[in-house]
Amino acid sequence: MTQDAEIPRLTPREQEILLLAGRRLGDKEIAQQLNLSPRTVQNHLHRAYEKLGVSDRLQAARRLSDLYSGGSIPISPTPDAEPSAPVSAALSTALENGTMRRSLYERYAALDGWRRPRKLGGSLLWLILGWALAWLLIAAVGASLANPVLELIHRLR
Amino acid sequence: MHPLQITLIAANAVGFSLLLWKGRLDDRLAVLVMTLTQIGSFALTEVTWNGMRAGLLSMDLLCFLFLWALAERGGRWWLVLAAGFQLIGLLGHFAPFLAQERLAWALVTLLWGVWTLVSITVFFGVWEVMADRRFAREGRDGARMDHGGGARAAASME
Repeated sequence: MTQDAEIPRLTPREQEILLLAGRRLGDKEIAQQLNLSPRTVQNHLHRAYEKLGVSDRLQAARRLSDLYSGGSIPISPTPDAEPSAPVSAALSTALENGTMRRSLYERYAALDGWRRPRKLGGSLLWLILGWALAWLLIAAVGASLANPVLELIHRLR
Repeated sequence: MHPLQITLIAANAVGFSLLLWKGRLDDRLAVLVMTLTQIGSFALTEVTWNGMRAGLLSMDLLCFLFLWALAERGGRWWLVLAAGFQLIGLLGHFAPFLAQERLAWALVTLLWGVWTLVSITVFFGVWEVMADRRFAREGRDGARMDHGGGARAAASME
């Protein structure tokens, strides 16, 4: 199977919008930047999701990154819209080496259900107790190691 | 006043201000609770009962209970972490009852460490608040909202 067969054909506009979405811009911001209506942006995004087989923009950005690593970027032969220079630059930056750098915020956004602490038995006490216990253990280990380490340093002198 | 104490108070002032500015009601209430605890700790430091610093103990106990309640209500990681650290501070009050004097001293030292960690947690809280706001904003722009789209809704990207 060739790479062309595997990579879905995205129009330049869809690519452009996906790239901007991958840069964490909202629909309104993308619409403003490309002089489109937010509704049109959403339509393009949905079509792109369908072609890529994903359901949100984070997945789409990751899929784009995976698909285009090491290969040329497939563009459907629609003559009207060439991606603008900043977007092309963003494309090459984002897809450089086939990976998109994930910021702290992106990691936060990818936490899904863990973006907020999860309750067990209707309470967060288990998390609080676990956190406190973990730090008490760290402190106990640190305190127990302090003297031997100081003695070792003293002996080495 | 010890230089570390001044540094921590200054850091707390900055972190608390940011949380008051950017945070939601739960974040702001947590800031209020922690500020009152610090003020109360200075005021009640000499109150003792049966050799225990009862004033400090009661302040720390109240602070822990409020932080726990706010964590349950607000669903913020920084509140969970701060409540955990506060629990360690609370347990530190029982260190003098431990037989080993060295361990008691270690726990007293821990109280300062706890304050430092809480100060760092406050800044993590500021970041969490900002990230949550950004996530909700992006959700509004082009996505559905989980949990019905209310004030506490978490946005999902679409």
